[in-house]
Amino acid sequence: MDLIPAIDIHAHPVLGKYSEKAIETCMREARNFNVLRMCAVGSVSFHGENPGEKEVQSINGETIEIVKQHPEIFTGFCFLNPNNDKTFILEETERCIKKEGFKGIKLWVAVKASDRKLDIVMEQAGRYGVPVLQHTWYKAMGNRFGESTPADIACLASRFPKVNIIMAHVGGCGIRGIIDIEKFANVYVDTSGSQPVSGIVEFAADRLGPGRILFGSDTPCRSFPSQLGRIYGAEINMRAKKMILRENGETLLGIK
Amino acid sequence: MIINTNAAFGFWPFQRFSQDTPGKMSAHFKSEGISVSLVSSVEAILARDPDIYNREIVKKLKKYPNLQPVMVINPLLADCKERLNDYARLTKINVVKIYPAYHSYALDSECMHSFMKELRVRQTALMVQARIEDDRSQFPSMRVPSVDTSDIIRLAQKYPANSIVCLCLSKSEAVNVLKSTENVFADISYMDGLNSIPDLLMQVPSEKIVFGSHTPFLYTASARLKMAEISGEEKEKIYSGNISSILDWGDIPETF
Repeated sequence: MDLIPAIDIHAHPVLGKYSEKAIETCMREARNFNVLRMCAVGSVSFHGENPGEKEVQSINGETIEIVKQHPEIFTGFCFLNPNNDKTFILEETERCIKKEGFKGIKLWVAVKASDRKLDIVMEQAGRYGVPVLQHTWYKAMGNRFGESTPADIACLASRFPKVNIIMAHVGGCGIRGIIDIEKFANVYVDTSGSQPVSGIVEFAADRLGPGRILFGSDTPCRSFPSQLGRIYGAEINMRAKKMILRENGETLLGIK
Repeated sequence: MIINTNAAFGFWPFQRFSQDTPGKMSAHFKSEGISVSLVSSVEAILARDPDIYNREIVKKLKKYPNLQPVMVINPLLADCKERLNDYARLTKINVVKIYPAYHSYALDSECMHSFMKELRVRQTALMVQARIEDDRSQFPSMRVPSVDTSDIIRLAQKYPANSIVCLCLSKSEAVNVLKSTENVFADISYMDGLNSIPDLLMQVPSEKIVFGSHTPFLYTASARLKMAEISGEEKEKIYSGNISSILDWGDIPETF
């Protein structure tokens, strides 16, 4: 099978204790499946759901190290916790984005995306012209306390229409999640989230257009073949597949 | 030759399938290079008595030799022995499938004792569907737990002469079950995580693994891409050799 070159908008080269071996495995697997570049954050879950300033610095320190060691394949995203002090958020975004050249901001489950605490994060994203990748899900058993739903993303997008937002895990957000954010042109979706359930990518391409869909693997929780299969297997045309796998990511990150 | 051990056809209220006619499904598997798929009825999952849907799928698939029907059994029903007699005349594949979590019985319940003995006498293999969907993405008021792997291990150890093929186990579940039993096999459809299949084969012999895609719930392309990480001899076993031995097919014709 001819593999289409891809950019992975959502990767965790380390998840747990920092390990060069894990990073090497991630890079080898990416190359095996023609994934040219991965947007990386350090081990976001290692310090729990609501990390303090030193812990956020540590996570971003890992990302800085990963990108410095392997700039040919990793692009850094700055991890932030909106519960942290505003001054710290300003300093950390300056360190990661202005100084280290990170291309995006990553938010996890500390605060829902509809919370006003995100204002400072969104203002910084707007100032530096980078997208915000927000973990999102609709869970059958109910989300965690600070875990965003697609409806939270819609609230955020309506308040910050000039900042690009990537709603992570469209596989976990499902059909309803796509409908929630459909009318907000500044919201993209990444294709990760759970198993490669059929039909969701097609629905997203139909309702959002292929230009608002970005390939994401969420590796190492998921494998490249499993997650690439969503795009290869989707009943969309080859042009759309190429956009989702590579071109949209390049355009959004300005790395073409 | 590629034999797909894990496929289903029919209507599922929680997901729309693009392979919604037998013709489309037949053509889809041909386009994926799959010679034969073992296909059970989707409707049978939610039916207390699967018989009507079993008979229906035999008729629906009759014109498509690359789609071989697999009958679903609910061992709680008093006439399941008679059903096995009927189905032996209706199908060519010597295997039946059970959905313990959906039909609400435990694998150590009394009904399983006589059922397993009957399968042993007939030398009929048993497929155990461990799950259909990610439990986080199920319809909130219809959450069905996955089958407990410790129950599968106890069943296999109690009936060592029966061949049991587990469908949709995660990689860690599969390693646990396959290391604890001699007579259990697992399909790759739900195995995920970075480097998952090579890592699996470091832990369990390739003779215990079969190819399955869980189509149409998941993209067939994902399962096919996972196989790209496996070398020649192991690939042949997983694609067709192991399942043909389990089902005692001997020389498998390219088409039935």
